[in-house]
Amino acid sequence: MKERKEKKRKKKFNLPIFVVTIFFAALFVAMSFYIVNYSIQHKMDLISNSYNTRAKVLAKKNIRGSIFASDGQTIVSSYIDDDGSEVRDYKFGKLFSHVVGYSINGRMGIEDKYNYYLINTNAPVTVKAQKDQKKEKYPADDVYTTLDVELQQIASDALGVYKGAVIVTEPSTGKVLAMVSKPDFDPTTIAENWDSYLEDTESGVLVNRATQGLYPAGSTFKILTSIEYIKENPESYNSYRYNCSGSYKKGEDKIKCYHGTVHGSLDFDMSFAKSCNSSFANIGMQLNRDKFNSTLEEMLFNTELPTNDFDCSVSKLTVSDDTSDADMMQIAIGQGPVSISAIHLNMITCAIANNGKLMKPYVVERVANCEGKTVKTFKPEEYGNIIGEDTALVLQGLMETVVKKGTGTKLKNDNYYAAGKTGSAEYGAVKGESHAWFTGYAGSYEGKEKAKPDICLTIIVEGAGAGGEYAVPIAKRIFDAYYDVSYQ
Amino acid sequence: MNLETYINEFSKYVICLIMILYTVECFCVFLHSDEESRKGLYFRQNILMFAFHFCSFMVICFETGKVAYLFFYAIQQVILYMAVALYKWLYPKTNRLIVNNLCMMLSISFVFLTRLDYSKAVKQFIIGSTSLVIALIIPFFIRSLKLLKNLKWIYAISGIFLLGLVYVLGTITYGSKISYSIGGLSFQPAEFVKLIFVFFVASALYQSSTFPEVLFSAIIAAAHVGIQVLNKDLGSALIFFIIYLFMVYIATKNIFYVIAGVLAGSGAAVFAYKFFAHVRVRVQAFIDPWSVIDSAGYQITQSLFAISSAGLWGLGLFQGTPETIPFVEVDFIFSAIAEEMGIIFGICLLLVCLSTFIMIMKISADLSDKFYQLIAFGLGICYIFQVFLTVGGGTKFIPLTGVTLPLVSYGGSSMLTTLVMFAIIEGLYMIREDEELEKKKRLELKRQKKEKRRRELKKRRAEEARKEKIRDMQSKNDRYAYEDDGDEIIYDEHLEEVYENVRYIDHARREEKPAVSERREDVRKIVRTGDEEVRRRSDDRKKSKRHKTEEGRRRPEERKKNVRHNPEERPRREVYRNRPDRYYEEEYYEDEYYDDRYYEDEYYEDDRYEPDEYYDDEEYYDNEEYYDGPDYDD
Repeated sequence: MKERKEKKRKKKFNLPIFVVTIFFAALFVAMSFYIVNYSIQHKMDLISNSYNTRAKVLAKKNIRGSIFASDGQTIVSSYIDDDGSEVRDYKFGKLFSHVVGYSINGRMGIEDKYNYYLINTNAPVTVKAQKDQKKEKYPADDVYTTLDVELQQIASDALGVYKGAVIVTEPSTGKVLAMVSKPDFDPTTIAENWDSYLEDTESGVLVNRATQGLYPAGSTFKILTSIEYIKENPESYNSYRYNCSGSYKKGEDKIKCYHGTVHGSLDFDMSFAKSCNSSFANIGMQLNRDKFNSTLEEMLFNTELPTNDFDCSVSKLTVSDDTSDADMMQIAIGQGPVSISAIHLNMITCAIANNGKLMKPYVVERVANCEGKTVKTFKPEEYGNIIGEDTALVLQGLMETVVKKGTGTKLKNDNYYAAGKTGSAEYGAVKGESHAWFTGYAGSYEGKEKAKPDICLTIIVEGAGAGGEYAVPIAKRIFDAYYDVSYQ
Repeated sequence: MNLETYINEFSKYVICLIMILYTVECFCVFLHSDEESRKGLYFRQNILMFAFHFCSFMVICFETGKVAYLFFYAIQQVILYMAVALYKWLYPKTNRLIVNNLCMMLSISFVFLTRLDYSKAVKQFIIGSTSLVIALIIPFFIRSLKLLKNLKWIYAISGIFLLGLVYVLGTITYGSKISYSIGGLSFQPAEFVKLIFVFFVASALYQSSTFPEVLFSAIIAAAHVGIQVLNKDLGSALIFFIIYLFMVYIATKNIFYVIAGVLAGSGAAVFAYKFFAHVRVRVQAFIDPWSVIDSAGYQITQSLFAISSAGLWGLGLFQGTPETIPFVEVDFIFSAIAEEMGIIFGICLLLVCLSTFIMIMKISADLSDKFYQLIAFGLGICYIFQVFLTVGGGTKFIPLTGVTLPLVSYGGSSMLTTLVMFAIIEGLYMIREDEELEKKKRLELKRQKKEKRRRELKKRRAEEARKEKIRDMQSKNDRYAYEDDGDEIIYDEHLEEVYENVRYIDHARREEKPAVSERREDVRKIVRTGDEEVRRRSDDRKKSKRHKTEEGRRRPEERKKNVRHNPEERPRREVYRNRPDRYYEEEYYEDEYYDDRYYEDEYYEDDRYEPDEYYDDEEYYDNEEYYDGPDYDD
């Protein structure tokens, strides 16, 4: 019976027609997959396109969602005023200006990146029905951030009137706890001050210096030079010795230590702790430039940083055999062609603190509807090991030495341990003008043991001077605040 | 009243679910082999169609608050169900999947045009209803007009003439010459020419598809494509090209024509890209629409906005803004549907189109007349490729060409053409059914003839056997007489052995299957001469110790051994006896009883080992030896 049927079918079988049928069926299946994929992939970015009127339609239907800090405080929310128009109320004024951003005259920060959620609604149908009855707009979804209001306030206060940036993150997860960029602006009044902001190209108020500012790395770059040196000499780096006479000379090129300090005889630890330029210029000359370049690539130079929540500038540095000795000496101490963004340096520090594993920095941990029911959760994402675990441990030791007996001794205290690297990045033509850097991390003690680092911060103070003098005190205030020292 | 909110919120899921179920039914159709067992499926499809239409219009009425739409809905529903019922009544043998899909797509079209532009929906509805009436007559014509096969020159000339007329007289709309107006109604001849073109290629290639015929048809096809490129209607130029390419492949079964065609097509495409600015603009808008978002890329980017904002379940009717896409109801209706009904619904719509296409291909493969087969195939390609061009173009899967989505997009010419196209395919389906019926009839006739012949043969053989027996007896008597020259029968050991040998040889020879006459001749010769060879063979035989008894040959077990197929199959007979085609089984089993004759019948000589042949009707019928009628299969 079955045989017969099969035979019957076989007889009617027309191969060319069958082939054509399969061809079109495959084509349609491929097209269907493409359409599904395209619509899901571009759901968020296309809605923000200025040619797309759908955002405006949604804005008319829904009240823009609120943004919350990690402790539940409202950073920004919207309400309908007496005229019936929607007003965006930034509760903390200037405090979160760059990281949260604005949504008038274009968008920035979280307001931009999470615009899709802030204008769409997942409100339950009962709420919608109520609102319909009252002829009100639907409440759109809310965004819950990882930002810590207290830390943000302290960081902002500590930076004071200086231009610069502070980033505080959690190395084990990549959560951004605070992000300050100065000069700042008040998002509430941005429409009125828009033109003046645009005209004032010098101060760059609208630039988020924490993510978009590119600076010479200065001595903080010695972290990278050290990583490479340890990688190349895993056994012998400890036996490194150098006698600093205040400067390093090769041919006609000369590198001087900061303020011409003579450091005397140094091993590798102390070269790092004292941030001796001459010693590092010497180390830099011994590096294999190709390997150094590939290490730099691994450390995310010349590539987009792996984060979805921020618009970051790409740090630029290429080393090759063509790099002149003069440049190489400069690069080894973070001057010359080195430019790095604060968030990038923070990510490298986080990776060291986290034993080499880099977590992608993120600032939004969940989106929820008006009733607080989670719509979407953003989990910590691992980027991968950018530094070997052994190297990271060595670097941790080096950075702790900086605090113990180097340029960061101000951070020494009994309540928590800190580690880091200071930097004074010279810029411009005038000698002595430098940006103060500090990048480091801190953790609490568990008995006498050091616990895993809790927070990691990077500070850049434009044009202030030496990192040890200007950036480290800011770091101390933030660490103290984090570990509640000042209130004890 | 917040009922509206709830309807808004849930209707999209309900509509989507209905569409998913409908699509599943579409493909379940292929699990059943005949229309009779698909009846339940079709009925469910009709119910789902009704549900979709009803839900959608309910949402539209709630959203707009206009009662007029309810009347519009009622009329649509009546017309669509009349179409389904009339087709069923007028042509009980039509393929109902195609009719159902056609009505489903019409209802989707009416829903969306009502949502986008009520006046256009009404216009489309009037044209659609008229077209349905026209389409209702067509299967009848297709079935009865054998004339259609010999009109290739008329097809070629009228096709080129109609397209040429557009080039000379056509009005330019949005950069392309695609239509001209007669008495206030604007026509798009390219739509109708697609049908004519399919008929042309079929009539040019159905008899023979050697190089001269292919060349001739290629020249005419190139003319069609060329005029359309000059008219700046790239979409239909491409459709002509693809239809031709695939039809040549089916007609010749030669992949090299396809390769040559693809090469020529790519060459032409490169040429067109270099020399026609409008082609370059299209390609640019495909590669990076965002860089030309103000001009050439505007349409496609708006379409992409619509699709990307849809989500799987859509925004719901009236919740999106598909009207921002220019000409949404013509070129981008798919994007509008996807935005408001959801990506899932859109994919289901594609799959419904695909199931229609697969059914057309199945009909085409089942047609034994090559002309009809080519037509069904060409129309199927024309349909599915249009769907592919418009959906792929609107989603940036392929460059945008500005083709309508058949039956769903707004456009009278397109709708009429597609309905006529489906009607032709229904006509062809009925031809197939007719063919099958005729085949059965001829088969029956053949069987009766054969039965008759068999009976005669049987009679003749019986007669011969009787004569043979008499002759045998005579010769036996002669021999005994010779040996004994008296009435007394003396037992001669030697002679007895010879007889035995003869029987054995007879049996052995039979296994080697020589013709009976020859065999008998041999036997006689051996008997008369008492040949040496016989003795030799007798010695061999003694060693084998087989067939010693005189009854050997006549024993039933022996006979059974001669049956050349597996005796275990015998019980099947009982099963088959109750089937309508038991003729063939009986015939087949009869063979066992008449095995002597079976071996001697020349007809069976070759096929002895494949008894299946005798009852597989197609197999049997397609065997040239048995088939007297005209042969289309070659």
